[in-house]
Amino acid sequence: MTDKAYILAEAVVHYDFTELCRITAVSDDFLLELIAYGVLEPQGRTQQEWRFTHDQLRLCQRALGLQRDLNVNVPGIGLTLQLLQEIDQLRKKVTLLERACPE
Amino acid sequence: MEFKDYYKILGLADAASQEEIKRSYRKLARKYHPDVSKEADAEAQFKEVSEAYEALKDEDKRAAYDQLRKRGYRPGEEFRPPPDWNARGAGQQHEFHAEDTAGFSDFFRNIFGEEFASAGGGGQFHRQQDMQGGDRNAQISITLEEAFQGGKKRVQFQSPERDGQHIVMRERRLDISIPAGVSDGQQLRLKGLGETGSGGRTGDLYLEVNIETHRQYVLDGKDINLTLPVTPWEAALGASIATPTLAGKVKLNIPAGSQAGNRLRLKGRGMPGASAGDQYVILQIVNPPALADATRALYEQLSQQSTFNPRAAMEA
Repeated sequence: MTDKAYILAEAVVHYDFTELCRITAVSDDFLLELIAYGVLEPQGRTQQEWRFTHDQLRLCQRALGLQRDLNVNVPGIGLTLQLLQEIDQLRKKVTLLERACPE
Repeated sequence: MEFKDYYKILGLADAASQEEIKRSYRKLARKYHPDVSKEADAEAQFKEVSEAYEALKDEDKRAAYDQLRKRGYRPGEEFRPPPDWNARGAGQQHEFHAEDTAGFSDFFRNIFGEEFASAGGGGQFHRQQDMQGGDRNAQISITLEEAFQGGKKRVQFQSPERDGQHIVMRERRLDISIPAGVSDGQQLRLKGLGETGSGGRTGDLYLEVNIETHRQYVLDGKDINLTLPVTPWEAALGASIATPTLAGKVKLNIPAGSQAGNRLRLKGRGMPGASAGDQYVILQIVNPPALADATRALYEQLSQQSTFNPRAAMEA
């Protein structure tokens, strides 16, 4: 197969405010609230300058799911996501330790 | 299609009250929510629970379902709607409220009617279907090696597509060129491969990358962790050890007097990129499984001459 047949996939490094809303289908208001509560901390000072990473995009999708399906409010979403992040970190550590000390 | 016992899915008795239905649903939704749960199959379970709740929370819909269930179907049993069952009739007779029901089973669609089942966007599909401007989202899985090296790959994924008024999941296949050093959860943008929206703008296709768990390395952001087994004498005397990295083996100097669990850094040997990650090597001290006579004699000599007591600081 020639190179031409392969489509170039571009790794998205960051998203601006509008892109994040479009891709995650969250409303402007909800996203602003997540930022106001420090659940998402974009780089940049003004809304035009804000840049979000893919980890923040994932957080935004999770936040939306928690609100929509479990009726969690924004402070609750912040707490839940923080705890989930800690669990992820702990899981990684456990995996490493388990590999170092196989039974 | 299979008959679904919505009472069993929610763990309820036939006579459950609306309060009990709500309570059970809320509990199970928390347990299986794909954004929270690490249960195997959480997403499928969550969908099933949501579907059961959708069918039972509304008195009219529940009555219609109860009628059908009284005919004695068993869960999982092959189900064909009885000839006298009029799903459309049931849909018109009662005022059903379509909410987050996309992605529900054929069974649900059949007994409550197609137009009803596909009316809303819901659950995990919601995000993808609601994308504006014709952008589309899908997920692909690649190995850690592929993420590290980048390169050409044929990817397969499920993508929601419009078919008339319905949204259907279609299997798609694309040959793409992946840049080196993509991260877990990062999105790849494929320009112009989305849908042409009503406004005439052709959207992009976003592929979310899932990097598969590796048998040897543990990925942490851009860093890579590796557990490296060493002998007790390598740890004690120090050694230069050929250590695997994703770019091939490199020499790693283990300092004399190393302990199990010590972490050494191979700078810049993690995932490539503008700011490349590091590889961390965690030492694991491994004793030979059975001591050969010569080794045993050396250990005995060490045992007689060494005064080292690792338990010196322990209390009675």
